[in-house]
Amino acid sequence: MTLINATFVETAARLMARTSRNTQDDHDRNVDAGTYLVIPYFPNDVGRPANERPLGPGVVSWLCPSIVVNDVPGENNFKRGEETRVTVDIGNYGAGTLTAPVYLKVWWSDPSAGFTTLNLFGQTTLAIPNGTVRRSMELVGVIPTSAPAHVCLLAQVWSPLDVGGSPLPDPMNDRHWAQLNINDLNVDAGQTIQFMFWVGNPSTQADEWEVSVANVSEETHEVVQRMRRSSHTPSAIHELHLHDPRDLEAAVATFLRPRSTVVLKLAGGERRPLVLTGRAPDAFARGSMAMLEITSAPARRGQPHTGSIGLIIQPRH
Amino acid sequence: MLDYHAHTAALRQIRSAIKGGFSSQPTMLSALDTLCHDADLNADAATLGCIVDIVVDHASSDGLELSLLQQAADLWAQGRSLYDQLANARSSLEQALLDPAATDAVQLANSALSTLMGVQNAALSLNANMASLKSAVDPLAHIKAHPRQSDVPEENWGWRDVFLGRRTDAFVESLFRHAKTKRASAFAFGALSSYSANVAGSAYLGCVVGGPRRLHRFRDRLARNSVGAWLHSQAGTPSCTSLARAIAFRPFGVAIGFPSDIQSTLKEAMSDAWPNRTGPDWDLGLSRTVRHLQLLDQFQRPDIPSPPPPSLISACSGMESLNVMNEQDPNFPTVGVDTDGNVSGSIGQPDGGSSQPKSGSACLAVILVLITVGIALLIYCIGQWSEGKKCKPGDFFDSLQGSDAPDPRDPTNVSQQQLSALADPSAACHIVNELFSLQMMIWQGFDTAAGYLGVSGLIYPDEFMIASPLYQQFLKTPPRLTWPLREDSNAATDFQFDPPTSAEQPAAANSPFPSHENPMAFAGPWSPQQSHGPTPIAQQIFRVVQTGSRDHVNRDLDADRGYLHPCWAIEAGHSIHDATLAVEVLSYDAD
Repeated sequence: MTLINATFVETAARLMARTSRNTQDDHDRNVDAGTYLVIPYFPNDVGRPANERPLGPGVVSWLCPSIVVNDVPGENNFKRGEETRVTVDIGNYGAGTLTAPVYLKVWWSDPSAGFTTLNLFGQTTLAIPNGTVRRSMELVGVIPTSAPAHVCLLAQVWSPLDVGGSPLPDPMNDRHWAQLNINDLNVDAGQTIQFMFWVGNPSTQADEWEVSVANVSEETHEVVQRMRRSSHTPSAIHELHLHDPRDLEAAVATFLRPRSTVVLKLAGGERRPLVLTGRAPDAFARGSMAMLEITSAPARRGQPHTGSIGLIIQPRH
Repeated sequence: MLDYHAHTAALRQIRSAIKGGFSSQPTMLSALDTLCHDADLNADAATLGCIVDIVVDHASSDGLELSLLQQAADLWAQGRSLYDQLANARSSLEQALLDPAATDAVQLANSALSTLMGVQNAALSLNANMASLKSAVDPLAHIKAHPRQSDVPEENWGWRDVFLGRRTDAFVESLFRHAKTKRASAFAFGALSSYSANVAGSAYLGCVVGGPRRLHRFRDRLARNSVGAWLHSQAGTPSCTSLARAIAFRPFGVAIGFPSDIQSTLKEAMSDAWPNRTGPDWDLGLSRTVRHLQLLDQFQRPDIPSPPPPSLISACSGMESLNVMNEQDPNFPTVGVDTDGNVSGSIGQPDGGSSQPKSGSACLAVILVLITVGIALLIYCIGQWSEGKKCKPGDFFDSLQGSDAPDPRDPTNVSQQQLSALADPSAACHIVNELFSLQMMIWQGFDTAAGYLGVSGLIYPDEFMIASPLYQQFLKTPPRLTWPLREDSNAATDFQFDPPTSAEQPAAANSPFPSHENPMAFAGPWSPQQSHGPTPIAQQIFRVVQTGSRDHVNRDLDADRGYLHPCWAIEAGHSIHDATLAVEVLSYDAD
């Protein structure tokens, strides 16, 4: 084998050194790269660090409109065991005249804030010229009957000249990732709701994770209404409480002292179940809608969220 | 001066619309019917006539552009071979890993490894040849300056600039007079279209460029190719290969050349129009034109790679790969689009005043290097995994320094046992991801190469490239308050931008096209309600030919000084670089 000289090797080694996993260098990237992919969360979302990423408070991080299931925007209306069709819109804002060959993967997962277990739903490749947004072909897959009633969809993109990009899901901070992590529940007025989800530590290091749940803002209600092309009267869920389903004492505490924020110590790659409980309002008429957002973040002060789940609760007809 | 597709679109327009202005003139209509019938029967001759200006250009050129394009086409073919080999290796290895117990699995795997080593060598060779081509293309010497811009006297101009700037109306009229066969008449009809299309189309180009070819030759080339590519896509003009086939006359059955009837008509028309000049070598021009058209269609991108088999990648999460370019290379081309959708960045890195506009080719060189190293690393890792060991890239690079000898750890053949080790999910997923990544990178290399050749003006922008604002800017007429804009001293590196210069004086009336018009404004279907375009120009010339009237003008086919401007010169004793040009409109007979 003829080998190239040391200078090229050195250059290539530098270029091939792995710098993944959300390094600061990754976040400092500007848009002067040859390829700059983003799965848009909103119009003109270019995915720039300190601008569009991390996703700001006005952005519904658990509902990326670029991910569309069965032609219905803003919903994850799959049926277990049946064919499900997914398209993803992908933007390329590289500053050259290049066209990027893009690899798209769509994963499904148990409803999680912080993903540690992914299942491949579908994948494809497509070419996206710089400065354009293109829609992928339809990915057709089946979420098995063994899956939970609610699953999260994650989309991930990659291209050879696009720098950065975490191999682990990080839709809040990484423009290469996006999620449709939305769960629809129907309840009676005044009824207790119960929703089980997972909290995962996607990193390799043990860490404390703060998980919170809250009713969303009016602004989020408006955004979701726009995406779903619907209209509703915003409502709120009361007595929000998070607890470990294996912890009976905590379950009892639900009724005594609801706590909407918990801190979990998780080993690297560990995930743990949590149960969210709450109570629908006594007046919960048809046309009302409550929305909850579950977020997770490293418990250290000032860390951005890394996971989020959306719950949409409507009165049972 | 227009390109092949704009000319054929204009020919189509004129053919369908020219009779529209003569409905109340039965004699003219009858003559036109005959002419159109001849053109339909001898469509290939008419097509040849409509690109007569390009044939003249090829006849009188130094052959540099054709030579560069040939080199580029050869390298492209080498690249396609490399890509196909990698695709085959990938397919074989995936098949072997999917079913390592199959009877042909070991053979498939070894065949794939052997192919990979060949791909690596091919990439090295390609890289060296690319560097050679880059050094030849970068100065953009194939896009010639207009001699007028250097105050070169007309008698020293080459045929291209004479044909576009002197007495071409006289030439076209003379073709009709001397056409003795239906085929020669058809050729004359085509030449009529060529003239008319250049008058109108060059005005369009001048508007979107900011000035005529003389002042902005690099932008003019990009604009010409952008308009042509767009018209080919939107108006459905024939492919370059089809055009080549149509005009490849072989009068004696072997070599390409003009049929004798057209050849003699040309000679007489040339003698009438330019009695003091020796005509170009028409057969040479035609054979080069055919070759040019054939080469232009050689740059087809390969299909984008298909993803790896899901069952082989399930052990890897996300996009873990050995071969991801995680840092920006400073030589990446930065021209294109900023976040507001505007053209931004700089095409090139000025280097002591020489034109080195194409950093895209440096990007391609980096890609090829990475492919080479990536394959070497993959082969090294395959060797490690086949022994059940971990693969550490650091060990690989430590051992590489300065070594030219084959690495004894590299597997030349794998056994059944080693293949089974490779098929372990933790190893297999890395192998297939790596091969897929390499194939994607080669595809990106093709894109980079196409981008480089497009920005250099050597090839048309394809469906992907034309989406870029770099080309899109030429597909819509901007509002221009002043025109033409003076030559830009930084044009060699900044020609992707609208010229930042002031207007050449006296300012001229640029174009008759309103703003926000696409190229259909001059090349699309024409109706009598439109006062401008190739068709009314062709109608006027036909009227003169039929009536023998002297109401004719030799128009500047670059639309230099504006739409319908006659041929002109700088008055004696003055310079093209004067603050205000001393423009002398030439008489009809002035050579």
